[in-house]
Amino acid sequence: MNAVQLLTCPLCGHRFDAAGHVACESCPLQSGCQVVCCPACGYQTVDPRKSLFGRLAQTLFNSSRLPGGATRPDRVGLTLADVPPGWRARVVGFTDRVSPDRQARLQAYGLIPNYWVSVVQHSPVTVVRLDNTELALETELAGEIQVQSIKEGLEDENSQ
Amino acid sequence: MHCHTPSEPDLPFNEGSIALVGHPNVGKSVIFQRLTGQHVAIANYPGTTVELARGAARDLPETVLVDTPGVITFPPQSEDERITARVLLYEPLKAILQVGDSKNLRRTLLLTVQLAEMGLPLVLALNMMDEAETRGVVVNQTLLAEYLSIPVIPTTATRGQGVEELNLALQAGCAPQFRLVYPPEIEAAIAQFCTWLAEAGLLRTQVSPRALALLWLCGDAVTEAWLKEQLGGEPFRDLQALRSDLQLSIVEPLPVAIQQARLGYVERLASAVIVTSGHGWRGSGERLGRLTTHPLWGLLILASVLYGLYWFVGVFGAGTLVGLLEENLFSQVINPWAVAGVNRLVPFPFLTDLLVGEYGLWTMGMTYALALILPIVATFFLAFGVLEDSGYLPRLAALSNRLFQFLGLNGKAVLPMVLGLGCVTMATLTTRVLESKRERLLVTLLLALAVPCSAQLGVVMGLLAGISLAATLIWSGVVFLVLLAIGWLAARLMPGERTQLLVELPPLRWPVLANVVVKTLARVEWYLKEVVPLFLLGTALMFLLDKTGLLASVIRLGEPLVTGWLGLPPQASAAFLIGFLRRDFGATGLFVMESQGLLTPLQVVVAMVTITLFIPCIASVMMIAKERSWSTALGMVALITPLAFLVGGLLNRALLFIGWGV
Repeated sequence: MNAVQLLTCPLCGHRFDAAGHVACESCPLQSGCQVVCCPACGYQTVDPRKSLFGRLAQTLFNSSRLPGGATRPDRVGLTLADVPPGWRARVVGFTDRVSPDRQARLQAYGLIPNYWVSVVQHSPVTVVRLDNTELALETELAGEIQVQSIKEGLEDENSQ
Repeated sequence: MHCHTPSEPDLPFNEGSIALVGHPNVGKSVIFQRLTGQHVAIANYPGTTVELARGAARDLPETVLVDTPGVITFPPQSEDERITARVLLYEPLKAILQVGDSKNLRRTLLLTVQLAEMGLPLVLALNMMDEAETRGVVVNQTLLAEYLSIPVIPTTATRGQGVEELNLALQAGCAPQFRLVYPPEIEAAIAQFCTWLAEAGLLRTQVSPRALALLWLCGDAVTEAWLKEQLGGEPFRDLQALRSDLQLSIVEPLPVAIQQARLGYVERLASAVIVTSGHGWRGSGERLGRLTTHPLWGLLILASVLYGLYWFVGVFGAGTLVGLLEENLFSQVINPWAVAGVNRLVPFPFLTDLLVGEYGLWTMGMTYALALILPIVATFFLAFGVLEDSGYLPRLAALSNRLFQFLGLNGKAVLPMVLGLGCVTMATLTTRVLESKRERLLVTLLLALAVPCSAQLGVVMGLLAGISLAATLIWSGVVFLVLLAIGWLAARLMPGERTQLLVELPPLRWPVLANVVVKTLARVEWYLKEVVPLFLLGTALMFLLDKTGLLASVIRLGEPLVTGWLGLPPQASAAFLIGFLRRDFGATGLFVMESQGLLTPLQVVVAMVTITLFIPCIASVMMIAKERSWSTALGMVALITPLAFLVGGLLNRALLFIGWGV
């Protein structure tokens, strides 16, 4: 259950979802086609999710400038990845790169808006404490969890 | 992917069953044992009951208890969670017993709310009260039971506290009355859904239409499949339209909006019933726990755990125990006695040869299975059981995440990989704990290709240790490089995205010896059932090849590949042929050849690398076919077999070039 992966048009830079084949919907060869047209400028791009050679090329040249290399937009605000070990912070929400399923899971573990989370470490992975649970999550994922008002110390504040 | 549906075909239609549902690692299996008096046959990882365990309840007449894999929240995400969802939909349930962690009440209640919506009688066992008490967590259970209108029973399952009360509550069983109200748009869609379901006359499941509606709106794949199957084309499309229309009128994604309503309710409930939320994290277990995930200390602890594992399984199991059993017991006592007995009782030479000859069912098949494999496997599973029950494995997942990131996976993949060192077939089954189909496929490939099982490791280590340390290093280096190279390449060629690691780290605990021993015995039993028939089959095949003279033609046929490309003596063909059945069995053939002085060190290393990269065994191919599909299984065989020979041949040339071990 992955979030929609957007392609970036190498010609005009427009980011779009290749799954719908929006710009080439009427093409008779569209089903199973490994090439997709950019809805903004019509430029044909290889969809690396469909084309084995596309993925191979992407691997060999390892370039995010190649078709389909989604670039990472700049971070907004403070995230859990920025909280130093031994400090705690209050969860605000998630960035839109966290899929709804993933959000539901994180919330089920207790990463709920207005809750205090203590950060134990960031390397090799981020380890946080909430309630009486210790959770390990990849630091990149921690970077998608927005927080505010950080404080020093690991005490649990959720009961207050 | 073929969805595995364990619950539909063999439903025991009795008075109804009770499902044990709860988060991973909260002691469902222990409560199951307490209520049924049985031990779970296979409980693979902390909190991961991969196969469903069923048992008759000891004190409830005509009732079957079903122990389900742990679930964090609905809709399910990993395959084992989906099994739990299927049990709720397909099983003729008369009640649900939720096992919850009393020290993490909010999380427990979030699941309680979802289970209560299903409309079945529900009992909540607040387990691990002892740990809650140590941490100073106090919950007002009476108030909680009143709010939820269900029985809430505090338990400490490991000590058997609260089990009597659970039995009484389950007997009384009544459906919860409480009803969580969602935003008006969602409520309207639920009402519409329920009307349509009533019109379609869908009453085949005990789960309430309201709960089905919520699961459907959250996009649960299991409910979707069930509705499609029950409703068929037109009404199903209406439901799809209902969901997409609703999504258009709400800002947040539907699962998020529904979750928010639940979280709000849980928060109000929790703040009302939690008396004190405890003083949190203190004690020596906590400090050790922190060290295990520390970038430096964690690695040192890992190294000592691995050394301990090597010592216990490699030195004690494969060395001392195998020596005692094989050399002393079997070679000197049992086998001479069996040979003499069979020769005296059976007058036909063909039959005596089949039973106790060079390729005899007893002298080769059973001796190998019992004297060589059993001690290695038993010690491995014992050590693995200790690691599992101590709560160390999730920490290993956190520690090894970087490595698996390189392989396009996340640290959770370490669990099936480590179990693969015990038995690849069993590990293939446990790839269900992984979240995406892509990850399950990648790990299955790596397991089949480059993870030697304990039986194989025992033979390979025995053989290589006799040559030199360099031989062992070359073998392990080549196999590890192949694992990295193929894993890296496969991850980049397979469509889909990597899932980021998210795993709970349970507190480190002292394993309970009785539980570990029982679990080990159950696993060894499973393994022997899997292994012994294959050994007997392999021996019989060897025997027939030998008797009919086909062995010579096999050797001739394999010559260009085995002698020309791998540079091995022609007799090695037979070992590779048997390697298709079980690769450790093939390795034993090579072991015999080496002890007869037919192989140079170079040839031993080349042969061991080739046979290690082989398909593990027929059983594992069947398991891949069952878990994924036949085309996947055959595709893997078609990929792995030539690759094994390719790497072996290249290694042969490389070693010849540098002049090692000629």
